This record gives sequence, structure tokens and C-alpha cells, in this order.
Amino acid sequence: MNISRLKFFLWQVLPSILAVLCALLIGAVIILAIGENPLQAYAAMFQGAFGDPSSWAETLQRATPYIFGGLAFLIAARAGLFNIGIEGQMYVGAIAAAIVGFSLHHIPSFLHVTLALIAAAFAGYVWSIVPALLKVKSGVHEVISTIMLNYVAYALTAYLTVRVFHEPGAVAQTYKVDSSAILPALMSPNKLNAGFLLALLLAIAIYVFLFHTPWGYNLRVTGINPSAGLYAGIKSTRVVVWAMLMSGAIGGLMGAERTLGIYGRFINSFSPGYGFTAIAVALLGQNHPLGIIPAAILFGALENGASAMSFQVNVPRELGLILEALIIVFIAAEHFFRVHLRSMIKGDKE
Amino acid sequence: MALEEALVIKGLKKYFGHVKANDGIDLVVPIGTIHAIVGENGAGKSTLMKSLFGLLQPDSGEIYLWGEKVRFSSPLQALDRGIGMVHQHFMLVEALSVLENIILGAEPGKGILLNYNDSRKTVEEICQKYGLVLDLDALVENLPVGIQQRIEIVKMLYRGARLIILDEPSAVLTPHEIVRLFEILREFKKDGCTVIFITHKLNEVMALADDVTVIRDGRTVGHWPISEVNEKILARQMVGRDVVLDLVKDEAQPTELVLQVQDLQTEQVNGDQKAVGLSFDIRAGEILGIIGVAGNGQDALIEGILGLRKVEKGKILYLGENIKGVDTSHLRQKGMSCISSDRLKTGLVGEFSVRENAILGYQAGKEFVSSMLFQKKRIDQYANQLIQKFQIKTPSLEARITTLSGGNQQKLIIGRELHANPKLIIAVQPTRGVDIGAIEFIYQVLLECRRQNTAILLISNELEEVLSLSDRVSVLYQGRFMGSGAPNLLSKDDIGLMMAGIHPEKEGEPA
Repeated sequence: MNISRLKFFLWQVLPSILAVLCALLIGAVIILAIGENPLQAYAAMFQGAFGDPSSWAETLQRATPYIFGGLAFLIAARAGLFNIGIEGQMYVGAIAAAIVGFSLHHIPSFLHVTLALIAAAFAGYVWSIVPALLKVKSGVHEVISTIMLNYVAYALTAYLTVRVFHEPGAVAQTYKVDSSAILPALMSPNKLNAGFLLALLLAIAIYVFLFHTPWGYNLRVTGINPSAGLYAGIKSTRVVVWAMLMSGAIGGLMGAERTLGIYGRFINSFSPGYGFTAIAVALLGQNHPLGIIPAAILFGALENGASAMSFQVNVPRELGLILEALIIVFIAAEHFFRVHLRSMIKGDKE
Repeated sequence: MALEEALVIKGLKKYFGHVKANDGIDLVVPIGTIHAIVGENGAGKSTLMKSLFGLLQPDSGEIYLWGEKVRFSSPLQALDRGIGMVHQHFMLVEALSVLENIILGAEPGKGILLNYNDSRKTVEEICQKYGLVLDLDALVENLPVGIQQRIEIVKMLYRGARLIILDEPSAVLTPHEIVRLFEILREFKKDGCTVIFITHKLNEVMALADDVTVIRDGRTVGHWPISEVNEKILARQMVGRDVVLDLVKDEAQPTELVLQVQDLQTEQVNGDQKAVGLSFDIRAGEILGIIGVAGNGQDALIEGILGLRKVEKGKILYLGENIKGVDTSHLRQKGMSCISSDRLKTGLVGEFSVRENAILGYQAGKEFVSSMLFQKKRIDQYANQLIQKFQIKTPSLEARITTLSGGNQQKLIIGRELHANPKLIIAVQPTRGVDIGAIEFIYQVLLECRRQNTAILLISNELEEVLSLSDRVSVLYQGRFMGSGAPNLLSKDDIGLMMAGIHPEKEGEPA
């Protein structure tokens, strides 16, 4: 019983592990081509990502938006939706948190942070109302509508930053949020903050929601077989709308963590594409809330480790991004791993 | 010495983990004969055929084709050696023409250009030889299933198949189409072709086959020339015990009205047949059978009652309440349940486990949920009871539902739908693709429900099923009833005509 469960678990994670190994292998070839020793480079990278408590902190700090983003993606994906608009939902969430952060004064810190988080989640929620309704009312595919709303979000936040809440100076950024709205740092001076713990809690909550509550059950049924759901009395349109809204709200929280925990304000175009990389994280984590956590930490480690590596070995830090990209390619080829590899391994046994 | 056997299989074994799908299959099929393979669902018929066709690799055993030992690693090799297989689910491209479908995968011509003229000639010759009428330029999506099956057969012949395997060929056909199919298969035999057909309909075996092989629990139980057996013997061999094929049914004791449908007209969905003016009622303790060829408005009727499809006109009263616009979940709570015909489409969630599928429809109920969380212990207890009571064969509660045989999946659905003691059961083809042992079981279960004062709406295209179970029968054709009556007052011929849209009294005149 326990062995068969372990086996099942291994079959679930094996494609992800193989994708990472394949990416590292090709990365090694690239390092060789540069003329460096791959083992040395990877060792430096590992050291940079996990070598001491402060490198751990930086890795986890970088992983935090990916946990939020991965969760946002998976809650939609489990309902059969492809939310590619997390980036936009994150931007509106980030600026909403900032506005609450610098507009309210003299209130207890806990309350201030909570209000800012709620505002961010609500902004992301509102941002996904349109795609959700377009989807169920007139069948507009959410990939189209959410991607387009990303550009609206860029433009809206840029306008608010430059025209409405602009802090005087050359940088396109808003006023600083009050100190009471700052998410407390966990390992100062690193920017790793309580948002990371919030992300972990959220992952666990979503795990319980998906697999141990009727609503999560309905959501999964709708994602896999909406017709069977309808016959069983599950209104798929309602589920789809709620999943999309939840996804948007989590996207908003993702932005709030950056605003309240890292920058202390909203900075125009602050994101290097967190919302898109998060999709890869979700896929690498097999769209499982607990799988997202190691996947996000891996991505954080690649980025953090790569920049540390570039100081020690003559390999540019962009190797981290290359490895991420390779992982994405291999995870996209998951079908190959799942189907062909299984038959290959079984074939060998015979 | 002339070659006598088209196919010989010796001691074929195929295990999936602990499950012995094939555990010693022997089969001998002489050239130029029609050979029936019968067995319950889950007996290993499909595994056997997949092994033969190169879709699965057997663990041990030998296959001799045309006297030569073979082991196929892909269906292409099987096709090359003259084996053609007509699957239960057709493998046709709906957007292509008949001709394009037939030559698909074996396109003639040089380089990248197709030569349609040559192939058209070849296909026409094949059709003529066997008296198969096909419009080669029609689009497949516009053709009825009977014709689609014919295309599959011609496809196999075009590829030079001399051994044709048909998997449950009659499941989708009307009585007339079945007769026609049998004629075609007999033509093949005359021409020296060999035919293997897999079925669980014993009357078809008796009507068509020269020899029959019975498989049970992955093993060959025996094989006989058809003259030495009858349906009773075969049924017993299949199930391993005596089977009551004649249902013992006491008089119906109908009591209060459960469902009244008045002049129901539904919306059309994806161009299917809508209901146009259906009226009927069902009382507790009786079975109303609705018979009709698939696609004549069954879906519209079912979905109209379940609240899944807009009702344009008319009334549906359930337990005296007008249920127009009422949620499906509300109806389910009020004791309406549905055994749907397409298991993996509307009855089960394929990627879910047995446990998760067992609670589909009850997931929000108090029985399995407290303080917003699923109560695993209670769910497990219920699921285990279901498995025991309905004799569902499954490795565990965690097993994916798709790893169960069709019969076991169906038993799970039926057990689940009966769990809450429903007042109305909508049973749609409850025995589709289910073996004879399970059929008997399902019939007994439905009759027991009737005895327990449940109203049952039986919707099926199996004439025997409807006639033997129902207290009243209505014939559905193009969204309306062609006729209704007690089963003993309607002749099979008349029902057959009505199913085709012809009023028996004014024969030959389409309705």
C-alpha cells in the first residue's frame, strides 16, 4: 500500500526531475563551450544558492513571487483555465497595495498590512472579472482576454505612477508606503519577508481546499470533465468564474508582496516577468500546490546561484535564465517523458 | 499440405501488475470461417485483440498468422500481414470525405501528390464485389454510424486485409443495419476471407458464427462448432454459472405520479435532435421504456428533465412541482438520479480515483462533509460498501476509474446513483457495453427498485431490453413519439418500423 503510493508519487514527480536534469546537462554543454568546467560552475552555483543562511534567504526571497504566481496559475488550471494574465493581475495588486500603504496613516501595523493585502487581492480579483465573464457569457478564450488585460495593466499602473502618485524625481515610482505597511523582514538585511510565510500558508490552504473540500472537488471535476459535473449538479460556469477570480486575487497578493516586502513602493515595470515564469513553475510543480513550493525554490536558486556563480567562474549570470528556459522546454515535452519513457522502462524489464 | 488456419494462438499471457488480463488464451481460427469470441467485459477480449494487433506486447505465448510465428510491435506490421481491425469506436476523420478516410495512411501516388483516380477505382471495385453502397465523396460527419462502420470495413479491405476483426460491431446499429452487416460478413466468408468478431450478444453468435471461443477471467474456457452449443450453454460458460436470461417480473404496482412531461419542447444544442412535443408520465413503481435509435432526441429529453437544457415549451412536473429552471443539484437532492449512457463522458471523471468517482453528485452532501472538509473515513466506508454490494472489481479505492473494465465502471455508476434511494431513476442504456453477467445483475437491480416503488425512465436502443423490462413502451423518432403501448401489445416488427419513422399501418410512408 505504502509502496504503491510511493511509486505513484515517483511517477508524478519523475517528469519534473528529468526535465531539470536534462536542462542541467545541456547547461553543462554550454559551460563547456564557454571553456569552463561545468562541475566547478554548478558547484559555485549551488554554493551561491544554498551555501549559507544569507544565500538561502536570497533564494527564498526570489522564490516567493513564483510560489504566489504558481498557485494563481494552478487554481485556474485545475478548473480548466489557462490564466496567462497573472502578470497584469500582479501589477494592479502591487499598485493597490502601494496606494493603501501610503494613503493610510497612524494605524496599527498588522491592520495596515492586512488592509493593503486585501486591497491587492481585491484588485487582482476585479482585474479577472472581465475575462471570467467573457469566458462564460460569450465563450471568449481566457488566453486572449487575460493577455490583453496585461497591457491594460501596464498602461494603467504606468499612468497612476507617473501622473497621479508620482514621487518627485527621475524614477517612475510612487510615494513610499508608511513603515506600518511594510511586511516584516525575516532575515534582515535580506529582503526575505513575511510574504514568504504567507505564500507557504496559502499553498497549504489551497492544497486542503482542492483535495479535501467539496468546492475544490467541484473545481477539479469541472477542469477535467465538465459534462460529468453538470450531470452531477455542478454548475461549471459558476465554478469557472470563481476559479478565475481566485486566481486573479492570488495574482494580486503576489504583487503586494513585492510592494510591501521588497520595494516599499510601486515601481513602474518592476517585474522581470514574474507572472509568466510562474506558469513554468506551476507546470514544473505538476500543478500541485505542494509541488509548486520546491519548483519555485528551484527557480529562485537558479537565479540567485547564477549571479553568485558569475563572480567566481567566468560564466555569465544569464546561465540561470538559460537553465530556466531549458526546464520550460523540457517540461513542455512532458508528454514524451510520461508516455515514451514509461514504455521504454517497462520494455527494458521484459 | 494446404494451410488451414488463418490464426493460431497458444498460451497467450499478458499481466498488468497483479491483474492477469490474459492468463492462457488459446485460439484456433480456420481460414474462411466466421469465428466468434465471447466473454464478459473484463474477461480479456480487448487485451487479446490488442496483443494480436500489435498495440500491446504479450508477456508470453505464441501467435501464428497464416502458419508463421509473428510478434507485432505496431499495428502497421499487423496491417501489412493482412489483419484488419474495426474498433468499437471508429477511427475516422469526420471532416474528410469517405474516399479520403479509406485511403488514409495508405495514400497512393508518387511523392507528395495523391493519386485519387487509382484509389477511387480500387475502392469502387471493392464496394461492388461485396455489394457495399457508399457515396465516396460524402463527408463522414454527415453519415450515420452504420455507414461509418461500413467505411471502416472498406478501409480494411482496401489495405488488403484477409483476416478481419470486429470489436462489438453491432453495438451501434439498428436491427436492420445488423442484418445488413451480417450479410456483408457472409460475403467475405464466401470470398475466402476470415472474420473474427467479438461480442457478448449470444443471439448474434448463433446467427452468424461457424465456431465460437469462450473466454472467462483471461483464459480460454473452450471452443465449439456452433452446431454443438446454444445460447444457454454459452451463457453458462461465459459466466461460470447458470444465468437467468428470462426475467421474472411481477405485475407493476404503480402508485403516485412522479414525473409528468407535457408537450415538452427543448432547445437544440450543437445541431442535435431536440424534443418536439413529448408528453408522458411515470408513476412510482413502474418502468417506462423509451426506445429509439440513438440521436433521435434522447439527449434533449434527458437534459430537459435534469435541468441541463432550456425548455422552450411545455411543462415538466416532478413530484407535483414545476421544475422548469430548477438546478440539477436541487433535483438530485429531491431524489432524481441518472444512470447516463456515456460513462466516461457524463457519468465518471476519468482522471479521478474510484473513491472520488463514488461520491460524484454527493460531494456537497452532509453525509461526507463536516466542518467543510471531506470525512475520509465515512467516504471509504461508503465506497467499500458500494464495491461489495455491487460486486465491483477494483484493485483499490485509489485506482483510477479508467483502469476498471466497462462493466465495473457501470456498476459503480449504478450503485452510486441508487445510493440515496432515488424516487426517479433515468436509466439511459444502462447495459451499454456491459457483459451478460453484469446485464443480468443490472436488470435485477432495476426490477428491485421498481418493487421498492421507484419510478424508472428507461431510455435505450436495445429492443430486447426495453421490451423485457418496461411496463409501457414509447417509440422515439426525431424528437417525438411514433407510438406507445404495453410491451406485449406491440410487435417487434412494428417497433422496428416506428424506430425508422414508419407508421406500421401505413407502411412505406415516412412520417
